[in-house]
Amino acid sequence: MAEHGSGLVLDGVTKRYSSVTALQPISIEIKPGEFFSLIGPSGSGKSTLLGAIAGFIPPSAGRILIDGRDIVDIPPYRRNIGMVFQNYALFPHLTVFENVAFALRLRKLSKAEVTEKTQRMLDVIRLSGMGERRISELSGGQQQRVALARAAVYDPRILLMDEPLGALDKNLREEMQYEIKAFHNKIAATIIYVTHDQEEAAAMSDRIAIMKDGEIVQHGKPRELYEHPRNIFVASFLGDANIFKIHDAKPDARHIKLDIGEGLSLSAPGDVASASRHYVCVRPESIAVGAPGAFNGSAGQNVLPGIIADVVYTAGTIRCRVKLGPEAVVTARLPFQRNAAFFATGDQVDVRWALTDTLLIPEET
Amino acid sequence: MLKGANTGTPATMRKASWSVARLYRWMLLAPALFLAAFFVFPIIRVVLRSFSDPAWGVQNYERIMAGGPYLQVLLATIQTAATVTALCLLLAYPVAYVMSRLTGSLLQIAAACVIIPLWTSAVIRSYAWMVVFQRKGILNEALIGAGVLDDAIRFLPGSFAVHVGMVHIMLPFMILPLLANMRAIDRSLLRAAEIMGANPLVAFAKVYFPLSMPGVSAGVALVFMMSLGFFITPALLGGPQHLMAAVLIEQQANVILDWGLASSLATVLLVVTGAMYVLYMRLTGNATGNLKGAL
Amino acid sequence: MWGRALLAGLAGLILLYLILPMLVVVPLSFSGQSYLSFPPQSWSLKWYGTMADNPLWLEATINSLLIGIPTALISVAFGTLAALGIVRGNIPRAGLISAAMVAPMMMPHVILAIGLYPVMLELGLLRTHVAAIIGHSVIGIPLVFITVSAAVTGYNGALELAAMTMGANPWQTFWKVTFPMIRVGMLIGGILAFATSFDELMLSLFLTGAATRTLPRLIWEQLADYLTPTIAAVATLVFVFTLVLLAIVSLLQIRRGRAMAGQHG
Repeated sequence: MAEHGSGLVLDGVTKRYSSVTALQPISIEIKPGEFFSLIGPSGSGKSTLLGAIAGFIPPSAGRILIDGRDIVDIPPYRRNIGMVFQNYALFPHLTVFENVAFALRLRKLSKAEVTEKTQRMLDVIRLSGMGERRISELSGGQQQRVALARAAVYDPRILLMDEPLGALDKNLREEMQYEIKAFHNKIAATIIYVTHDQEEAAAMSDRIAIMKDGEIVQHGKPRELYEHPRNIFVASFLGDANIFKIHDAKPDARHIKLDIGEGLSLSAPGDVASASRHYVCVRPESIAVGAPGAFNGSAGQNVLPGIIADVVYTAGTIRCRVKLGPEAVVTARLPFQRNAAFFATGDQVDVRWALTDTLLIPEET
Repeated sequence: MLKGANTGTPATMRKASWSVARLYRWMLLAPALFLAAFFVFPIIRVVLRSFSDPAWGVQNYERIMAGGPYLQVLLATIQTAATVTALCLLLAYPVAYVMSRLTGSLLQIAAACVIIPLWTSAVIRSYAWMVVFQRKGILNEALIGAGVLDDAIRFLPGSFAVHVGMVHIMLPFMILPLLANMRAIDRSLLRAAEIMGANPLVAFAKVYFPLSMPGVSAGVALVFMMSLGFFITPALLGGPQHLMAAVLIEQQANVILDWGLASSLATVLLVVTGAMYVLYMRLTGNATGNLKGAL
Repeated sequence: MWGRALLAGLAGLILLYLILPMLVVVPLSFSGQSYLSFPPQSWSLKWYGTMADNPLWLEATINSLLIGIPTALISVAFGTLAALGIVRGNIPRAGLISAAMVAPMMMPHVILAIGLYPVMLELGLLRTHVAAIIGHSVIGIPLVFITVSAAVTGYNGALELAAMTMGANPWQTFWKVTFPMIRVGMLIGGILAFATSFDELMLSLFLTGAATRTLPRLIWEQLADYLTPTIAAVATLVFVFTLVLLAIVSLLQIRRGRAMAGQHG
């Protein structure tokens, strides 16, 4: 794929409105053929950044390079970028076929070529029999597929997607994630994908950039971000996290001993200096729950006693919250096992996680 | 990979040579120039002329303020506009109230009764009123036939006819904002008030009427503003006894050829109307919403 | 119960008052008498005959069309540009600018008339069709602006952006996307601008001359002299014409309403 899609370089891209800064200078390099996601809460600037790449929002400063060429001064209709819009922006006055053929007709292709390419695309999205339908006659998922086909039919080298699955319900959304991923493998394009759904981004992307207040806080492979969040914001935005404030840190053999309040103390790798102004983050799925004493004698582990606060069964996992003190609570996510006896609210338990799963991260950078 | 993401080259400000919003803004140029040339510029000339014809100064305004017939006409214009507005409100409120509860074909018939006159030429409508009000007209014949009158009354020219004709033209402009407002009032509030012990009249006075106030104020401002500039109705039905500002301005310019005085009267009318327009915009928040039903 | 019936009766009477003038004028035009008695004792078409015999009426109608149709076209062009510029141009203080755009419609026409008179005189356009076309366009643009603004606000601006990403230049974007979405609004606005021009008296009094006199101006001049049923015949024809325009607009609006509903359903 890499030899087909275009590479994209953002070099100090900034957007200021008279009083607000929508984008701090942003610099990042997106590789040819990559599936790159921008995630962040609403208002974090991800859609503004996408608009700047598409050409709707002229940046106040910086350069946007496609295959090394600055495109800031090129109008959107000459950028050869494809875009899937949040609510699809399909043309209600045209049929499905004409929506997909729209860009081809503009490119002055012969009639036969237009028909052939459009038909092939309709086959890919499994809507071949529906070319003459109106957009309003399609379901949400079908509209989504038409939007995808329409943006990709002219082989743009970069495909932008702005929350393309936001309007779909949960089941359809998961199905469409596979479709888009499969679609990415079939076409030759770099995809830049905006979403506020971190699971969606993690499932599909080669790399993710997390945005907040117009800045990229951290970017990298989904797993890197998950395992080494740069700060509390990234840790809690990407997946679930148990976060405790460190009140005090003391050296303890080869580790450090952390006081997290309420008389609770944890061990963690590292030295005292690395624990200053830091928080502890423990992922729910790193935590095991057992009967009191079940984890005795395990070395290199944190083991704490607690009381089950509640247990929730969700698809495939058990989420249980354990009270460690008057305020302190940890959430553990355990794989579901058929017929396994489990704890009920009020049971005495021990919780355990490895020292290496005890992440020390700062609040902000 | 975890290094700072924002360490690009220091950004210098640039202005892209192209932007979608800017392209759309350029579209404003042609209509703006047209309206500047044929709306703003002529009006500025009217204002300037009021201070410069026949000589620079405020003598035209002194003539108006001297207390002669000109001031009287201006005051009578404001008074007529106020009376017409009050009458319109009085008549429009029950109509809008009843219409807000109608559905189906009854609503369509009522809406047609409101919208068709709005589209009918004001000259033609004033002609109809002349037929009704003339000495041997429908009204006199009917009143004599019913034994109310012994002899025909002279309605034309006169204030009564002017008011009937003006209210007729302005009534749709009062009904439509009221109707738009009343259709949006949640009627369960009235039921709630009645459940809490208010009798229907009290519920109306304490709940419904206050909720209909935005429609009332929008309609009042609109009707008053438009009534100030009336020409056809007072000219045809009012005669010299019931001059209004627009009629006087037309006479001064077209017949007496006193353009200085005409311009100063127009400037006064402009200021009063403009003030009402600003008020109307403040009340409704937009220039167009309340009249959409009419268009 | 009695209160409600009384209220409905009152509303009915007021609505009757609203349509009363046409209930008088239309029968009168078919009167067999030469004076304005009502209801007419006998019926005839002779007033339509008198009207047809007087070439002034036809001339004035042609003038009104020669002024009304260009007025509609100019109003549609400028009103549409203004609506697109303000709604899609991301303009700061768009509310204020919209208010300024609508102002010509709200202003007493006499002010505009005495303002345009010297301007047209200096341009050498006075008493030509062009003078009236310009004057009527000033009050026609706001009408188109209102209807087209409503149409533009009624659909997602991403449609145009989508067309541009696919390679449509601004010109192609307008004709392939924007125009199909707003053409009904443009048409309704154009009909309104035409109807307004067709009815307008004040600007015609100042800006037209004997050879370019419009229909309302001729009615006006005739009214000053004689109150004959001939005018009722003219009025009836104008009224029927207006009703046809109104019916077209209503049908267009119903169709647009359906299209919008389909789009969201």
